[in-house]
Amino acid sequence: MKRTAEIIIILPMLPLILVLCACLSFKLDPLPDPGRVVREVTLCKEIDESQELLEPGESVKEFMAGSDPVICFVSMKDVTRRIRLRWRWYDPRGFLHKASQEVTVNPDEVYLEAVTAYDRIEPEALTGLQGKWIVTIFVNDILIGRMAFSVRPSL
Amino acid sequence: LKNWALLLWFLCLGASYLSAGPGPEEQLLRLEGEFITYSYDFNQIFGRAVLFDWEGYRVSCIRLKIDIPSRSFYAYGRVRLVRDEDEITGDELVFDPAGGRGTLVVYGEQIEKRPVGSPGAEPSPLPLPELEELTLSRIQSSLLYCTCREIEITESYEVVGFGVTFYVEGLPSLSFTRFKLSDGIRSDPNGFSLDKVWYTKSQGLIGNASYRYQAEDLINSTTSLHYEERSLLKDFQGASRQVNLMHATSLVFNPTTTLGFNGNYNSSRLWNTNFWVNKKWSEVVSTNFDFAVNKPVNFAGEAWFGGQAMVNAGRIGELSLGGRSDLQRQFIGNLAYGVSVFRNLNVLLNSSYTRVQVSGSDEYSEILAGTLSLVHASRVFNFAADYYLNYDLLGSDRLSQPQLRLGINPLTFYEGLLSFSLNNILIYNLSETSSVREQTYSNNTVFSLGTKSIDFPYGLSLDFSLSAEQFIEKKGRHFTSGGVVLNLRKRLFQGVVLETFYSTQSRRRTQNWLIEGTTSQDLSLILRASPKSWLDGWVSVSYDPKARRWQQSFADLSVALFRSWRFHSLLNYDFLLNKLSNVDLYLIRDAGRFQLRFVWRSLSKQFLVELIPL
Repeated sequence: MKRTAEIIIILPMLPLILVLCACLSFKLDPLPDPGRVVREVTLCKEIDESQELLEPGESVKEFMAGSDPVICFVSMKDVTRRIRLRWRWYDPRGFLHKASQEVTVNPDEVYLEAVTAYDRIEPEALTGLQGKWIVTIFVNDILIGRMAFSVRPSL
Repeated sequence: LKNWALLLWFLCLGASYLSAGPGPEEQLLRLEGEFITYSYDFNQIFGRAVLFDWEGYRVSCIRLKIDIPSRSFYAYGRVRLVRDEDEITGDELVFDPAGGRGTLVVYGEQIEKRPVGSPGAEPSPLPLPELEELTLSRIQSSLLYCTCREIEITESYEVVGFGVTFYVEGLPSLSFTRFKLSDGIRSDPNGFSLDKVWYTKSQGLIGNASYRYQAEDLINSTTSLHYEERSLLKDFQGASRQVNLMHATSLVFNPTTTLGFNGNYNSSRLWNTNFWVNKKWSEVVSTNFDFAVNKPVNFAGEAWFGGQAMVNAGRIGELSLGGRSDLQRQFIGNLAYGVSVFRNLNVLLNSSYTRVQVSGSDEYSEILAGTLSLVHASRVFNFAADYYLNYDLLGSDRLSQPQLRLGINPLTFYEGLLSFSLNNILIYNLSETSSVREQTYSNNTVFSLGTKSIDFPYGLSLDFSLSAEQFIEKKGRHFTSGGVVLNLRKRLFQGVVLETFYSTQSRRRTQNWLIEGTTSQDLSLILRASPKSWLDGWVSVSYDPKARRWQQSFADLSVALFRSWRFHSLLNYDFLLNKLSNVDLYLIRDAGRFQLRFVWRSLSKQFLVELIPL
């Protein structure tokens, strides 16, 4: 009886299986993963530097002027070439407020499984510039990330 | 057998995707790139070194993000727009392919925004926060995602991939030359669909199929078939198979007139049909007429003709008048009228007359029933008075029930710290038959007082609620009950909280000289722990101080594993029976648009696989 039930279910489905198989191709090779993958861009108030790799604190999008630093943390994986990393911070009026020093990573062009880095703005620099800020991250002068955050006046 | 059924279900799903074909939709955007990924979980696209045509431009960028649910399109990293001899460049392009508008942004000494796209179109707003979280790593964390070099997005936001390789939990799976990756917002509803083929131990083989036909706003028709084959089941008592056929058609004759037909047939020889006409004569008056034939199992069929008129006269009120009659001189009539008078006072009158044949005899019953309600609600109190009458015209039995409800809306004091409410319901019943006249009444008063959580130093907080209820009735039985619930919380460490609940309830019944009652107490301790983002759980134990015995214990633990997999368990220990009475274990995969759950329940000794759309 059980065998009959299986056949009853399978027989009407055979045309569907054939249609499905006709659309399959097993010859396609999966695309290779692109290198230098940006794993994470996070805004936070603190960084844990006790580990081998840096770890960002809790992700935050609102900061208090005069009391919190703003840290923009970036994490990349599969880095094989030398890269130049820099951050550019724009205030609510859209003017460049801070351009970070350029950081050179992996000058020997070896394979690095993970790269972590960050730049920060001190709390005093935010005073009087409340509103929506934008931070951009460039690798070899190419934009790879952009985050918006808001700064509120201190209580 | 279950495995086969599961496999076939997936095949049906796959076939329905494949058979969907290219459809009538126009292409909105076609992406070509070195590496494009699509996440089925999140309905998002990420691309590297991508080229596409937009508003006459050939656009190239290093990276591209698309969030289909929010219609957000964002190209960034060395963006170039080339049209004929013109070339413009920027750091990012936010664009709307449907509206033809876009904004090109350059991050120099200041942020420069330049509108591009259709002339006159407003620039696109800057990207939504959803796009900030969209990364290749996030897409690769999906349960189901694919990679390809070409993706097409249609006008209804269907996503179709070419040369697609699927990944299940990061492992390469099947490849397809063409695959519809996601349904769009519009799809052709017409045609036949096999909705479900399934097998269960209790119902046997089940199949659902339907045929739909829609023609603009003119015709809407659905026919569905439900089939159950039970001959496969062991020891099944009853019909070997069952068929349900259901049909519904509506036809919009003109903007004010709609015709319709409904019909249902069941293989147990039960069927019914219904023809109806809706006519809207004006904004105030509308009518509905219908003719229905109903054939129940083991009884003769009935044919009913009915009509209903609705008058919506605004401030004067709403009136509804209806009647139904059949060939055996059965009749049902109803009248309803509702109006708002003065301020916040609603009046509702409902009346019905029923003359129906008593089942299995030649006699008829005639019932007249009516309700009159007055409802007033204000900021401080609410008041309602109802009068209900049920009059058996042949048997001369009459039941009348006036009811009065008065309540004080919850009042808060000390900036919401303390809240208080009072409600009272008075019911009077008068029941008359040809020989007996009986009167009863009852009154119920409920009082409650509660606090919001009050915080104390050292991570301590407290709240309590108190309630009392008095029930009085004519027979002389009086009930008095009351209770207090105390809740005390103490934060022990980071992410660890201890909660204590104490409740005591008392109930007394008095009748003349007899007083009887009960009291009960419960003390519960709950320890909640969430010290890390990947760990969450609680343990509770309850104790009866009056009987001096432990009662129940529950434990709940949730641990994040890897790639959005979670282990969840729920345990229950019964101290009275001295045994572990229930264990539920879950292995859960959160996958954006759905959740995959493997469940084991000790009570029913069942293992379940659930796919729950979110």
